[in-house]
Amino acid sequence: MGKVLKKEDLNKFLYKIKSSQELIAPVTTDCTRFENVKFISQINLEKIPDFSPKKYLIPAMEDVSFFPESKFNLLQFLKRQKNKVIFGIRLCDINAIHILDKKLLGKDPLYTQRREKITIIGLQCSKEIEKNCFCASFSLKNHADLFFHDIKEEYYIEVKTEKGMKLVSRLKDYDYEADKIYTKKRLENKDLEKEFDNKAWEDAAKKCISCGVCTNICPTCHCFNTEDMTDVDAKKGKRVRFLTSCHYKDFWKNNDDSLIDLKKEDMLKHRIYHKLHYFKKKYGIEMCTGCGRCITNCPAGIDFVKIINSMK
Amino acid sequence: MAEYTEFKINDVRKNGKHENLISVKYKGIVFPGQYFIAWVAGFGDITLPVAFYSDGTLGFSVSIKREASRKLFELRIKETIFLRGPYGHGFPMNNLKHKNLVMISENDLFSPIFAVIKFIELNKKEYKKARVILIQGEDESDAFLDLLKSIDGKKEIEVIKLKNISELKENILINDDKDSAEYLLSFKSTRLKEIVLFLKERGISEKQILIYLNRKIICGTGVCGACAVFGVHACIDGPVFRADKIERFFR
Repeated sequence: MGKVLKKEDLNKFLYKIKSSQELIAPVTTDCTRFENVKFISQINLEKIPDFSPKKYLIPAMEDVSFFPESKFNLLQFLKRQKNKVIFGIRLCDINAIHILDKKLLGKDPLYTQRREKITIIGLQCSKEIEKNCFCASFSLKNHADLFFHDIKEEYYIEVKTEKGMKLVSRLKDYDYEADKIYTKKRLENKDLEKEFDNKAWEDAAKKCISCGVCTNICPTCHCFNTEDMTDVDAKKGKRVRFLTSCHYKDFWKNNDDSLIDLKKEDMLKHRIYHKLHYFKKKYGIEMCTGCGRCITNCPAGIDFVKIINSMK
Repeated sequence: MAEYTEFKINDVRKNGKHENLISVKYKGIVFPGQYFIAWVAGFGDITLPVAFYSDGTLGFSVSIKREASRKLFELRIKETIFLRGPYGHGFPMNNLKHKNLVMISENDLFSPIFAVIKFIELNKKEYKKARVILIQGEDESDAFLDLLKSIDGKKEIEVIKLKNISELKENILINDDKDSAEYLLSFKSTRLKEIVLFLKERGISEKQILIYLNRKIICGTGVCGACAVFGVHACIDGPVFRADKIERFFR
């Protein structure tokens, strides 16, 4: 049993949320991305966002501590964090957050404190989805607090958690059997362990320019590095942490700053195997949710779904 | 990303021109092959493999490689160092008991091997013969060799010095106990392949080879992902690995 909301009442519903906490939703400017909503009318639910809401959980760069004053009080920055509702997240990005939870929740204090303040309101994709989406290849589950389905004049709302129920408790009860998402593109189930030395990897890697777009745009890629930055007098400074990419040479440094001797092919394989094989071995689920953004945005046109599907 | 603890430097011993052995007082359980992360304000973190731990004294070898390590190198007695750790899985010292050990290392990365030797020195009865092969370039200092000379239990610990990895010969292997001897390696990743192949060609199984993987480590807790390589995280799954766990490294 869920709830129902008339489409004409959506703005009122969102405005109520916005009056008590930050509302993050897809906004279209030069592209469609999740932004802190200033006016409800900015929200665009028609297009699948070009970026995931990863930045609200793991910013591309953030201050971790100031020194010498703080002596590394990691949490000093988090006191200012407000409760946030992220609205309009598609199933792929919801599962991406679930994957990040598995890896980081309770282990990374910065992530944990942000995550605990976030409520997720999902939105079912319509039948017309992006050509590179392949989420139906994975058994994605609904980990949202609330999940909206567009049913003509109304939204059917699946209530998944207590946190979600608090937002919709006054709405009418409703029952609805939601359709599953169909994607034309599918990742075939291959035994990747056996395909490690497949020549297809080498051929694809020749095109890679190591720009790191795939990892930056990926909703689950979260590898980071840290660096100390000092003031001009070198007496004060701050530590920052920033997202990095396994496609950058710097990622493969040894402790003595020498580099592990890897080919581009190894870097590409590292990313794909981490997503589809290593993570699954450790946590029981793939680290990819089939959003297809890495394929859409790769300037070299590398499509790992095609690569894997072509392996015989 | 854990908090750092402030320690006072207890002792600084010169170990060659560009290397110092620094020690701090530490209470806890530390195994050879584990590491700490030192913070040098304004310069970043440095991963320090444990060089020895006995009687509540924890030692690290600090050599000048870049600015951050120069700052550590310049530390003197009673000055402060910020550390977090210990992290990672060290050498499985319990599994190495009553086995012949061959330890092969290059001078630069000798710390984790030195920690094993110091551990054996303290627990002599439980370990068999240990052969230490130190690969030392011509311009590198004899500091570790000098330290090894001072180790009590010289009969059990035999030290061989080689100038180059190409000088490794059959006779460095322990032939009387070839199938159960354990081979402990600490090398730069660029040389690891060469040395593992050398051992494999002589019938040593990957399961007999333990490797200290000198990967750059950022968080030490498996969170940042920056030390991942072929499905393992050097920080929490290692930095000591059985060669068969990271066999893709040697292809």
